Amino acid sequence: MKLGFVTPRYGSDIVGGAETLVRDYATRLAAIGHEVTVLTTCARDHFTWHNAHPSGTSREAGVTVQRFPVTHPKDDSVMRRYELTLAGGLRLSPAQELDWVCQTGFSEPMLDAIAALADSLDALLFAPYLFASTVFGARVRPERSIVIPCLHDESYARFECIHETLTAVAGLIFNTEAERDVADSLIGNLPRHQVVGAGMDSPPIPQPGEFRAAHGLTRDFTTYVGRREAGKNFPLLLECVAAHNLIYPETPVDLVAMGRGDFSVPGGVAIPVHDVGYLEPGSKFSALAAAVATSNLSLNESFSYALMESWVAGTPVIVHERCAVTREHCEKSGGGVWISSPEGWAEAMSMMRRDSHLRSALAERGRRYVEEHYAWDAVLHRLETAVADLIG
Amino acid sequence: MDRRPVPDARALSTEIEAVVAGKQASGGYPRSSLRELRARFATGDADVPPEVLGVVESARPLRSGRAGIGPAIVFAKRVVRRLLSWYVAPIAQDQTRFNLAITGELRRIERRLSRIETPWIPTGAGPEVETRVDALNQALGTLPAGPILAFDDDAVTASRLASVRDGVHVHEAAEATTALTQRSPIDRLETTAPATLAGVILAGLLPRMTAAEQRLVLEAARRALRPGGVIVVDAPDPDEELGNAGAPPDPLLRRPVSPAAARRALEAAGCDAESSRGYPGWYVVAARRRAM
Repeated sequence: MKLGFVTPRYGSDIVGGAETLVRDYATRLAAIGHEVTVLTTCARDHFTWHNAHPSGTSREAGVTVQRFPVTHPKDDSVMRRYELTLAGGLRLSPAQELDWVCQTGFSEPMLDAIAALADSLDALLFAPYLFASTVFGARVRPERSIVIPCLHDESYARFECIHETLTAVAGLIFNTEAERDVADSLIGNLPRHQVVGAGMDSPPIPQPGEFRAAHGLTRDFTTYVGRREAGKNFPLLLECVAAHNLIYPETPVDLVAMGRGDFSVPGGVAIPVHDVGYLEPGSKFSALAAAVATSNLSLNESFSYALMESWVAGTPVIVHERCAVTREHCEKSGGGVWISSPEGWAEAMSMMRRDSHLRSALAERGRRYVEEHYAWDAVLHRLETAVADLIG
Repeated sequence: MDRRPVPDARALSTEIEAVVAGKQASGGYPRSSLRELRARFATGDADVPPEVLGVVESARPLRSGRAGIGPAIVFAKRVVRRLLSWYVAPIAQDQTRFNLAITGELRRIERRLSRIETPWIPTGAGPEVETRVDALNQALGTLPAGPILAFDDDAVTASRLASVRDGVHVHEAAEATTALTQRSPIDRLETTAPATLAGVILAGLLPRMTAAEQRLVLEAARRALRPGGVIVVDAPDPDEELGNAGAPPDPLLRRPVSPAAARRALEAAGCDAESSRGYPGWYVVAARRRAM
């Protein structure tokens, strides 16, 4: 097949679940013989949308990448007002919602390129749901367009302009059934859709002992992988670790935090956090393997690579009861537990620390779940079938 | 090899919650320390009254965490703040005056609302229940998938409808002495997630509301409907009701609503009236959410 992926940011230096998903899909489909083109902007980060990469065409890992400049610069003062309104639980007007989307990497040359390329492609795939490249790009030739929303239950998911785009395209591809259910409850009237998910490679052989020695870790710890921000409930995890150490002062645990983003601990609270930053895959899997459990308390997930990576590394997980996506993974796999309070997290961690058999059994269930559902062969087959089925 | 069976995820999670509940009940946690911890992590100003938030200070504490040169940085910041204070302080004062003025208006509106709100009490004053239920059920017609939320004025009709039609959820009116805002149909619909309901039934409600409340409840109902969802309203037909000298007027009927007025109100809320029918003394109007 000849496929076009449209995403606002693309490259090996781009961090983000949706961006990683698109890169994996594109490179792996190209590796098995499909002709893949990626249309993206020159932006590297979604905070400033500055044109950091040069525009033009390049070949990256078997994929033709066309980069276009962002032509609608972001107005920080306007976006700040919009974000304050949304954070206050209020709605923007339809015109403001459209303006918000326009401020997210809008590129006119990219829209022209989509129109020019559409007839030569079997399908156009857009991800994620909320940026200008998808909201406007998927309207150019909706009958040839599939959106991979990577949807969260957040304020942007209620924008009318986004609902209009998502209900007009040929189809949607979701990462999990839980994500599909969220979309159904928010949008209703979904077009045809399939659930595909992301793939997981076999990891490098983890070296947990080496990781502990390298970072001076002598106590049990939990790991966190991802952006260290409120939107991912990272402060709640800090509170959970602190609560555990108040409840079990004789046997405290540490937190090993991987990923990007600055964070702070409230004054007067002592939390043993090891900020190891961004780690290469080898070190990351060693860290995961050395942990008692991986914690992902985010409510905003459409798939969660962290859970899959933890299971592949042989470590169970603790998730938030109210995150439909991660809870669904735990229920289906049996590879972790969900909690609803810092006390619950403390008891879950204590339970896993006491019982190595339990830990191993949970992790093994999770590993089998990943192997069965998210091996790349199976994922690519589902993806190919979904594209053929949705476009027809 | 340890061959003990391991419970499934749900059982383990339930066990964890049970342990937490047990320890909380028996005082097994350091309650005051955990409460203090929670307070330190609490974010946002949700519990701070606007009168406090509204005061904007132009002089904020100045800090620097830089080792060695921190005091010099703080001194430099103080100098800059002093040099700019002639410009910044009046802006902060203007903003504070505006914030407090708006807060005052907000409190006045709250007081007015509390005067016009009345307890939402079902009176059992509606028509014969089976006739009414049949009419409401037929008016619902074909719906998209999803739940139907039913409000009534007699504490009987919605429950009876739920027994004859799948997917109907009854909004239970609470005690008359509790605050209206916790249980009014407006509040319930405004806090229902958008585009989640297949249908909303407002049985006998419109005449019990002010014009503003009618607009609010219909708009909230439309927002809560999925595309293709239906609002069904019924009410006493004022022409027939007023002409019936035998029945005493219901004291909680604030404003008679004719079938035509109901249709207009539904159209204004963004729904297309599809059908209306009557039975002795009453009418039923169904309207489908318009695609926006």
